[in-house]
Amino acid sequence: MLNASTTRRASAIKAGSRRVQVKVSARFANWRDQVERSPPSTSSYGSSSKSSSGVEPKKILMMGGTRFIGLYLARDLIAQGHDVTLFTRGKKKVASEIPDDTPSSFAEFSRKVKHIQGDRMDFPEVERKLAREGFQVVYDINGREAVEVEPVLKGTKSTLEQYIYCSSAGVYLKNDMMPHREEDAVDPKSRHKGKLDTEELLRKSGVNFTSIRPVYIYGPLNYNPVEEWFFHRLKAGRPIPVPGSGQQVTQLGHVKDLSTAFIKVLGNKKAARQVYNISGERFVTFDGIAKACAKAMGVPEPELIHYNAKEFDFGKDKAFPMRDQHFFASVDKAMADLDWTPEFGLVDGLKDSYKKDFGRGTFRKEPNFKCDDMIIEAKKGSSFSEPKAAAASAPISRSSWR
Amino acid sequence: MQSSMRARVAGGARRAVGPAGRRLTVKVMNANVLIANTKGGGHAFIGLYLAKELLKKGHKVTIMNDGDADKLTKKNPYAKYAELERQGLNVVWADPSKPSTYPRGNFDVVYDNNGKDMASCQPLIDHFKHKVDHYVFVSSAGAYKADPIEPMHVEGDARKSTAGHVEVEAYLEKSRMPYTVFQPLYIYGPHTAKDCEQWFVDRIIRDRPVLLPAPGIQLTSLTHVEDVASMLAAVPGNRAAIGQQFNVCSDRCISFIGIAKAIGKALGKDPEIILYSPEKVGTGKSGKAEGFPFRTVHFFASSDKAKRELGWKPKHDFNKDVQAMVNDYKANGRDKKEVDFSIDDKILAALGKSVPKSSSASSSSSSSSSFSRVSSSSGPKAEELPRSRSSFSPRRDLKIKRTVLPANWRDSMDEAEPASAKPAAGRSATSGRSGSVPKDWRSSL
Repeated sequence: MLNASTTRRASAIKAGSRRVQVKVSARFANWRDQVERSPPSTSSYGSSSKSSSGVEPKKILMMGGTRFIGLYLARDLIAQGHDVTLFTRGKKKVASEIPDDTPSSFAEFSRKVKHIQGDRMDFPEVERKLAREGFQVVYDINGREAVEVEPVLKGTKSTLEQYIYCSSAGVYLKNDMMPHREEDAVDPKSRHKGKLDTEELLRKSGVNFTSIRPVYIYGPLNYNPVEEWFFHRLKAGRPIPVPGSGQQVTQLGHVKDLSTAFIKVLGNKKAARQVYNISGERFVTFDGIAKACAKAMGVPEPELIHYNAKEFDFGKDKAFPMRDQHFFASVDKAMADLDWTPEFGLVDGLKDSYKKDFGRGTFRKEPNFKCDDMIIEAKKGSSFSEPKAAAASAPISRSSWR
Repeated sequence: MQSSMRARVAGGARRAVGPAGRRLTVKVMNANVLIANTKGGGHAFIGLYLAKELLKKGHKVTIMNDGDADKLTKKNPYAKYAELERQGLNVVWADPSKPSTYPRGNFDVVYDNNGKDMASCQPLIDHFKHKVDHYVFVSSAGAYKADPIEPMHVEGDARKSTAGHVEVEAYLEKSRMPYTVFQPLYIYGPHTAKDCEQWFVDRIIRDRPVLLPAPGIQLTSLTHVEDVASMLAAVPGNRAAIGQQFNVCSDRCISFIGIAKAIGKALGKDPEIILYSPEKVGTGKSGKAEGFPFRTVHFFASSDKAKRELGWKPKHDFNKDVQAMVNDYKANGRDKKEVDFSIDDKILAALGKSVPKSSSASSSSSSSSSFSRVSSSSGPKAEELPRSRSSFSPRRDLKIKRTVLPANWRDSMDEAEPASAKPAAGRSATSGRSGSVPKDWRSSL
C-alpha cells in the first residue's frame, strides 16, 4: 500500500460509499511520485489530497475536458466519486491515456466518464442536449464568450446548483501596484474580454457561480508553449533571448494545483459568487523561468540574451511566450477561503512537466527559432550554429557555437 | 513568568477567528512595554507610531531613545513625542550600549528598534535576558539574500551571511529568549526621519528628470508606518508569535516607474523618466546606486504569514496615500528648500545629457552629441510625450538612450503596450518612440 509517510493522515477510501472522505496527505511536492511507486492496484488518483470532504457525489457537466485542464480535473472528479460527463465535439477521444494515469486508474476513468457529443457553438443544440440530463454542477473549462454560456445555463436551469467557470487573470488592467488582487480593476479592452463578459453574465444571471482566474498554467500536456518554449531551446543548447531586462515578474501555476482548486470550489459555500486567482505561491522573473527550466532539466544555466523588442519586426511570430510586463496575482484569497495550497514549487513543477512530457520526447509545437536567430544575429553579429557536442548536458560556452 | 503574566490578564482572553478558521487567541493585558528606539534612519519613526498603537491598546509604554535629547527633540519624529507624552508615554534618553542608563522598571515586553548587529543589540538582550515575557527584535528584510529566480522574500528564505541581524537572531535563539523577529522593508509616512518617496517628489515638483536605475521596473515594497506599527503591536501577549519571524510589509509592491507616475499624478505633472545604469556611469554596483533611495534590484516580500498567524491586515495603500504624502511635503515647505542634485547632474553629464538649470534656457550638451537639443531637425520622427515642462529635449528619434553605453546594453523599454506580446514593428514606424514611459501610461492609473 502507500508508504508510511503518505498514510500519515490518509484514511481509507471506501469504494462505492456515498461519502468519499480523503484527508489531506503530507504536503511535499513529489507526493504523487511516491504514490505512483506503490503497487499498480492503487490508483494514483484514488489517494488524492484534493478534499472537498463531505461533498456528496454530484452529476457534473464539463464543457470541454479533453485538452489540458479538463484532463486532470475530470479524473480528480471521478476519483472523488462524482458522475462526470464531458461535452465535446468528439474530435478527440474522451478517454485517452495521460502520463499521470496508471493502468487501473485509467481503466476506472474510461469506464466511468460519460460523453455528450455536440458543438457548443450551436446554441439550440446545446440547450436541447442538456435538457433533462439533470446536471447539478457545470465546469465550464473552454468557454470564451458570454453567448456560449447562455444555452448551458438554460439547458441546466432546473437542476443547476453551481456554475464553475475557468476565466483568466489576463482580464486585469495593467497596474503599477502588484500583485493583482481579485478586487482590482479589469481591462475592458483586453484580449480576454470574452471572459469578463462571461463573468458579468454569470453575475447578472443570479446563478451560484464561481470564477477562477489562472495566470500562466504549466504542466504535462500543456498545449500553450510556456515551459516547452524554454525546454526546446535548452535542449538545443541555444541561448535564450529574453525581452527587456528579464526582470519582469510573472507567475506559473501547475495544472494539478489548478485542478485541486477547482475541486475545492465544488459545493463550497464560501465560493458562492466569488472570483479567485489561482496560480503558484511564488513569483518568478523571466530570467528566472529560464534558469528554473534549466534546473528542472538538469542542464547548466543557459546564456540569456536581452534585447529590445521594439528594435525588431518579428512579423506574426511570437519571440517570447509571455506578455512583456509584470503579470502576477495574489492567491491569498483562494488559500484562505478554499483551504487550498499550491503543492508544486516552481522547479518541482517544471521537473514534473519535463519528466512526464517534454523529457519523454513529446511536445505540442515544433520549435521555431526564426525570431531567436534574428535576435542572435543582431546582438552577436553572427548566427547561432549547433554546438559540436549535441547532448543538451554539454556545457554551453561561447566558443562552442561562435 | 507565565503565571505572573496570566495574573495580569485584564480583559480575559479574546478569541479571534483568523482566515481558514484558524483560531487566534489574543490575550488582552496591560503590559509594561519598553521600546528601545534608534536615533535616525528609516526605523526611527516606528517607535513613535508603535508607542501610539500600544498606548491605544492600554499598555504602559516607555520609549528609551538613543542619542542626544537636545539635538533630536527638534527633529522628526522625536519632535512628536511631546504629544504622546500627554497621553502617558514615558520618554527617556539613554544609551542602549550602557545598561546603567536604562530606565528602571519591570518590563514585560521589550522592543529593540535600534540595534542592527551584535554590538548594538547584545547589551540590551543580556540585560533583559530572563526578565521579560517577550523580546521583539525589529530587524530588516534587507538581510535576505537576493534570489535570482524568485524575487519575493518569504520567511525562511536564505539570508546574507554577512547580515548582522542574523547573528542577533541566532543569539536570541541560543539564549532561549521568548523572541519575535520582524523584518520590515521600506517605510513611508508622516514624520519620518529618512526620505522614501520624497526623493521622487524633490525631482518631479521641480521639473527635474527622475533618474531611475535601469530597467525601472524593479518592484519595491512601500509600507505605511501605521501598518508596521499595527503588526508590531500585535505581539504582546501573543504566545503564537514566539520564536517566529515575520515580514512587515504591505501586500502590494510598486515599480520605480510606478512611484514616479503616482507622484506625478498627485502633483499634476508629467514626470520625465530617464533610465541609466549605475555601473556604467560609475555611481554604484551590485544592488546600490549612489543618490537613489532604494536598492536597485527587486525588493519585496510576502506578509502572508503575519496575516495568517497574527490576524494582521494592512490598512494603507501607497496609491491612496500618495496625495497625502505630497501634500505633507508641500505643507512642510520642502518644495521651497534647496535640494542637492549634484549626483543627478553627475549622472546626466555622464549620459551626455544637458543638465537642467533653474532658468528655462539651458546650454547645449557636450560634444558627444547624440543628445543635442532638438533645435535643428534632421528628420526626427513624431514627438512622443509632450515635454513642455522640461527645459531640454534629447534626440529621442535616434532611439538610443545613452551614448556612453553600448547601444544594445540592456536597452530595455519594458513598459511595452499592454496585453500584447506582438512585435512593435508597426508601432515604431509611426511613433518613433523609444521612451521609457509608454504613451498610455495614464490609462493604467
